[in-house]
Amino acid sequence: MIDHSDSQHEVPPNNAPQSKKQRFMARLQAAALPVGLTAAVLIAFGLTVLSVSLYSSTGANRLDLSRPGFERERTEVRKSEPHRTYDTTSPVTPEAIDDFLAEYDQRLTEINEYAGFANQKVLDDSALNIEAAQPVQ
Amino acid sequence: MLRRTLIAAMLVVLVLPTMASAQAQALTPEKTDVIIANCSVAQHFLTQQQKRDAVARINYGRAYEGVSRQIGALNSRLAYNKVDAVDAVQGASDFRAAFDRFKASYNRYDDLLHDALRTDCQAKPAEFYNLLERARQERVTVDSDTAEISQILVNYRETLVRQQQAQLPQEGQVQ
Repeated sequence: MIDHSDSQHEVPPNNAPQSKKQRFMARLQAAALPVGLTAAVLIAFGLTVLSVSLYSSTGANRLDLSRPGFERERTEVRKSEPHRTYDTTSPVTPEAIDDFLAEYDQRLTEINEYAGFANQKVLDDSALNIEAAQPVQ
Repeated sequence: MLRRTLIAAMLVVLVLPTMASAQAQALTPEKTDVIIANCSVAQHFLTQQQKRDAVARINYGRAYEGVSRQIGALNSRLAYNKVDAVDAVQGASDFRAAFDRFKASYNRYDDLLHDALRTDCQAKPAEFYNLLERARQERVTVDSDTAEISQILVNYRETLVRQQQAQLPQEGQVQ
């Protein structure tokens, strides 16, 4: 009869005592998924905080008409002009200046037609219905 | 810089309540009653005005950005051709500075309007009216900023025309 007791206690080569570094790497491999997921969530959170703070600090939030409640205002906004490339290297001739001025004058006329903030009566007490002389409703 | 910001913040914290109480004293009981009674109506009108002003701000901003690109391109062309264009460059610089002021003024105005809308004007009519007064003043500043920008743009045009008449013919076709 063969005694297997010794062979049962024999440590296979794979389970040989590991160095500190190997143990650390093994532990790291085991924890890779949870660590990776946590890192991904933290990075996503950080980027979200950054983008929202930029959205607020740059003033973009004030001019964002894609928000609910701005449906009518969206139709009143002037369309963005297509990005035009200007010639910056050709000689500066009187004709070139004339061309520039023709477009420039058109822009000036357009700007001067806006009167967005000119009427200060829109915030008057009477406009807001808080004029003291007015009978309280 | 940080110290200056802190000092400015402290001053605002200390001075604003004083200003608010001064305004509160200026409010007559009759006025206070009207504000309390028509609080929601006033805030509704303010909300509508805030939306209209956002549209105006966007339209001005887009127009100014467009003209800024055009001016920048011409100034680059003048520089590339070694044309003396100190006044034109100065005009462009003035324009950018005025545009930045306009944006800052609008942001302050919008903040004040936002604060007024968040204030419970039935519970704090004096605070609401104080914010409204300050928003009105800031809106005047925004309007004067747009007027200043228009003037700068007109001046830039005049500079260019002067340059066209005086410099370019003397130099002939600038290469």
